[in-house]
Amino acid sequence: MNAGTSIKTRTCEPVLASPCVDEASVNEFVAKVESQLAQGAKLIEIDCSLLVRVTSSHINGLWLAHERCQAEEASVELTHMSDGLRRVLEALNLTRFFLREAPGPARFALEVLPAAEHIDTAMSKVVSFLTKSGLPEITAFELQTIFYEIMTNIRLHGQLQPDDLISVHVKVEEHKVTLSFSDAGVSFDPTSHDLDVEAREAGRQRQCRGFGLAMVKGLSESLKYARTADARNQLIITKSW
Amino acid sequence: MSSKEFEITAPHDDTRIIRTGTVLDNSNAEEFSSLLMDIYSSGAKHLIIDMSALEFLSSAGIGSIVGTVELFRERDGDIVLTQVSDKIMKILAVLSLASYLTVCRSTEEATTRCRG
Repeated sequence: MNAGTSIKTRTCEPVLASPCVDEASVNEFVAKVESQLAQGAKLIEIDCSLLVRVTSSHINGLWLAHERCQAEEASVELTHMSDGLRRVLEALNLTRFFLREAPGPARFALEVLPAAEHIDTAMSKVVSFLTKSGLPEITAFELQTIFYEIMTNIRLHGQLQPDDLISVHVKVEEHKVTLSFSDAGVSFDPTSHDLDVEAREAGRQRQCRGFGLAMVKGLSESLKYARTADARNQLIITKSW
Repeated sequence: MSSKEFEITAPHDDTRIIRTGTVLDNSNAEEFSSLLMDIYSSGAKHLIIDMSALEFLSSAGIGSIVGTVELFRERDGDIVLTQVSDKIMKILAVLSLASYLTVCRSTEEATTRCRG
């Protein structure tokens, strides 16, 4: 990784901040941070999702983590903060030690030919972008699955010409990703179909198709479809975490 | 073994184990389906699918399994998935397949289960 790059490198799993306030829990939490620093991590992510009721013990633990990181010339980043925690940090004037400036949405766009190898290449680029944008690994994986299923559906059923391009836009905001797909294929509104799968019935019918859109629906927060004036399918999918 | 190949072993006369590569998607799902049918046609009662290396599973791969499982169950056998990662289990759960398909933590556990 080049010096000065703004790409975040997470070398270890996030450290979960414990909601317990006893000294042993705080010490255990700090020990986990120290363990990652000992492995050479330069960015420690602290998952604050369990810190619902914030006390001085929690702040003390976070400050100790910050001090350990400073000593090793590493950075600490808090994620999944509650509004309460954020307000406490602001009141104590500690935000500059833990919070980066909120960036604007990160965007990525590409146009893809409707062939399997091009879709695979595009998928790798999208996954790389999502990973660098700091999404949790499971979320990036689910979005990869959504991307693959939608693009493959367009490729197999859209009746596109080999040189027709599928446009893809990816927007990453805080805790939300929007995927937009646009193609010139035959009109197809996935939201108008019954996408639910009944497993036992599918097994009885020996069903081997039709799972892709059900996967997309199950992994997405919302699906919106429109047929544009220039005869393109437009599908917008959102996912939050 | 490449990322999209399959490895087949036979720990017992009526049991076969297929180990997947890292990817089971539209590029190799048809081959996978053919292998499942070949194994069924050979008379095997149990099929264990070792997913320990699997990192990506598409709907086509899922269709291969769902389209075949009842064949094995009709002869009092089953298809058992083993060492399924949390990410892949999430995909199966989204389709309500996690409770319909048989899943074991290890191939050894699955083999023991198949010996019944």
